[in-house]
Amino acid sequence: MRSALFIFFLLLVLRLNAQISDGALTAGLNVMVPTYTEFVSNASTGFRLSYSRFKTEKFGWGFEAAFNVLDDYVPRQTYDYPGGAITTDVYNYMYHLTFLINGQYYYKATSRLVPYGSLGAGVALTDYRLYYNVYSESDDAVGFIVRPEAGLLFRLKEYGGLGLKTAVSFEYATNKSKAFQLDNFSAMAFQIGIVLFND
Amino acid sequence: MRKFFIVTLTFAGLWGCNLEPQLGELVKDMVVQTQYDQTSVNASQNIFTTYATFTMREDTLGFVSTRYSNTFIIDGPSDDFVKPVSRLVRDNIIASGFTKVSPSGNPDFAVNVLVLDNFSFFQTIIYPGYYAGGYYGYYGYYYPFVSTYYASYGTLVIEIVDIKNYTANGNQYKVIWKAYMGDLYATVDLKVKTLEAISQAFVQSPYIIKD
Repeated sequence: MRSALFIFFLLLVLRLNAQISDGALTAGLNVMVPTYTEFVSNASTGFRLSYSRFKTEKFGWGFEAAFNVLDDYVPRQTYDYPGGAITTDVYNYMYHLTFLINGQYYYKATSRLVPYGSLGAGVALTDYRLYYNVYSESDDAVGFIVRPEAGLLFRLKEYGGLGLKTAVSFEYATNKSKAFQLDNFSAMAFQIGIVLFND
Repeated sequence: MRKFFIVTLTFAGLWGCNLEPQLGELVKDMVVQTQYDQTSVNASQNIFTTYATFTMREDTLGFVSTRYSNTFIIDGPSDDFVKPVSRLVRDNIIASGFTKVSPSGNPDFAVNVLVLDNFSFFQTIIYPGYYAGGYYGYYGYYYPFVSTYYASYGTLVIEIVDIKNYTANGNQYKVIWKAYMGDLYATVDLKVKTLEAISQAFVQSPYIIKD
């Protein structure tokens, strides 16, 4: 009886301390709300794909890619400049692709619900584009990006391979456009995705 | 794994964001760009205040193309496009206080109206500031050229050429004002939108006024 009790508690401890999984592949929607609104201000729904590797019950690392197309509309108006003027309406589009690696900390590793925090860093590639009538002008920028994030991982079933992820993050990218006189880009992002756990 | 990909594809389908603005929204109004010669119009002088008369053709429009002659814009019934365009240009200049005279009536400036076909002019055009040979007409060697072009654009150009100061300008006809309006091919209503663009060109050029 004593041995059985010992084994039970041992299993329980092992269970509580066990890492969540070997890894998790996540794909989902990435809703981005710019906080730097000089060029684009509308919320954008993009796509984010990530992979997390759980090293211990508390720590892990991962990498991710995200793509958003942000836009804005500037109503028709006249712009005066030395030697002339131009009248048009303009659609501002910003194509924003990011690649990051991140470190993750899991606050509580239960079998089904895992809150976490992470800090990612990587590279952001941005294509700024103006569309006016059938014409367009563009400028590209590559910069450094940091993204702190807080979120939840949730297994749909005990021992199940499928789960959900929801997260909120802030990102700050050093991407600038000299041609369009734009400064560093920043945004809030909200993510919801489906998770495939790899046990 | 199969469920994962099904859900992933569902997310991708839900994503469905617009990668570009809708063409119908883009072309609902024409782009209107105007440029003036800064040595002729500046804080200390406005050459237009020294003018009184002008001349221009109203029976046809010039046509300059980099490709085969896709001239349907100016070949149609003249009441559809050519006459309304040339009349509105004329009326705007007359409304600014100038008097139209015949080419032989010693005009102070000439107005040329032409269509550029297959030119991309915004930002890329290299436009001659002077005409070496003549100031008036739609054929010859004195039309603009561009450094690059890459699409099928149609642009209406209005230009004002200084005749009065021909000698002072080294026996050359100086282009002192240009207006570009486009795109003619993608517009939802060629005649109406072109006429709106012409009016806008003069609205944003208040310096075109007789003293």
